[in-house]
Amino acid sequence: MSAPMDFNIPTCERSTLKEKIKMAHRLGYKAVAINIFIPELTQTSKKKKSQQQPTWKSFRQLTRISATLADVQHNFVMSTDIVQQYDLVAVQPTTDKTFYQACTALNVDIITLDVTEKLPFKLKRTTINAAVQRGIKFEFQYSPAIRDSTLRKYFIANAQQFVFCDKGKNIILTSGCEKAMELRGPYDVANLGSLLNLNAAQSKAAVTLNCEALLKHSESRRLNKSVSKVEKLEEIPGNETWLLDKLRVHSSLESVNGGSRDIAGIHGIDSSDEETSVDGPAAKKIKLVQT
Amino acid sequence: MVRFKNRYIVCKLEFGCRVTLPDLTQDAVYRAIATELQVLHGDYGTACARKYPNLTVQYLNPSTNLVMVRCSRDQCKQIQSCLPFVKKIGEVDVFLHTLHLAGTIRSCMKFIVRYHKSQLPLLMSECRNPVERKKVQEMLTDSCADSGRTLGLLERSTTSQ
Repeated sequence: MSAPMDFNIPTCERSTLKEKIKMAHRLGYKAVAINIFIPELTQTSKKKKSQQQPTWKSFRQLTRISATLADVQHNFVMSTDIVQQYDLVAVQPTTDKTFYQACTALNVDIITLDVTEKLPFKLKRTTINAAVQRGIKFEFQYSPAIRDSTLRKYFIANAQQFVFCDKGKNIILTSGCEKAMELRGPYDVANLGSLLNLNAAQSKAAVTLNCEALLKHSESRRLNKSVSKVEKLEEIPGNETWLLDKLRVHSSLESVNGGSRDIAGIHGIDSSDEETSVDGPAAKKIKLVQT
Repeated sequence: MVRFKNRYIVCKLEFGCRVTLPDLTQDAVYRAIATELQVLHGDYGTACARKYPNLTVQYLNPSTNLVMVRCSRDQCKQIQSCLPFVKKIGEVDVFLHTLHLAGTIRSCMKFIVRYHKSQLPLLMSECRNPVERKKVQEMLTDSCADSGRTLGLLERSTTSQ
């Protein structure tokens, strides 16, 4: 399975969190997101948590914030810097209006649909499509289903309802575990997809590909609106030749990594795309630099 | 020619804290899976698991906690969907981590031997003294031999039929 990820490991006391992270690594997840849950949106300042120990190679630990949306008026908080600095931003709408707002207007990555009770609002295909076009994924947590039999029924019911509206392409399955023992391996989580009317490819995508897409979406969300400028290497003015050195280092690193789609990639340089120059004696790669 | 097609699922029993590992029997694991099947898929699921090839736990390695479950190919999806919901086996907090799915016992055993070999360096790095290391090594070689022996036994039993 290509890079399975679990994007909802709620914070708790340090030792339990450590256990959860260890278990996630043992089960084969390549990235996890540690979730801070805010039940009510108020103007409190939440400090971004530093990366938890222990750390491993090829195991990303991201930060995530989730909030329940109760009232349409208060949701401007989601656009503040304090919230947007997190790697992943998730919301859980509770009413029709907040669901519509989350899908069309709010700057979020994930919309969590509650699995602990009957969905309080009706899912409309048009609203969901609006979110899908913006790259937002819909999340269902499976740990409540493992804990309790009633919650299991709501998990299956709500998720099936969503899959019916959406054809099962934009769903991610995450844990939301309270203990390390509520985590399940990525293959097992993908098997839950068969309960939700997802086919085999969609179930696997729910754990792997959709999560990768989310990471890219979150990066683009944080970079905001930007302008790209393409320049030929020969035409760079004198006072900007320091760029050449920086680019050369970057391109050599790329060749070492095999130009991989490694998500744990090289940060620091705000560049996104690559374009090879057609002219020029030594065809060097030009990076699009975002200003 | 009608052939009964099987699916063999290799799972690892994951305990939380690894201080004391309780001994579990094949029977206990089977009962746990069957109970979950009854809860999730009801009488229909349980009935499907009773016809040949029925749901059985074919192999359990108590020292490395590997389990091999057999089910019919038609019911494989159903069984796999109820495996994540297994929380306890007897009184012990345990969950099943699916490692491999195959159509033959031979393929599963080959995987088990490969898996044991790959686990050896990981376990060795956690051992603190040469005595522990020797113990772990012996245990794993025994497990590999055990898998081979089980494979041999099963092969002989199927050819004798």
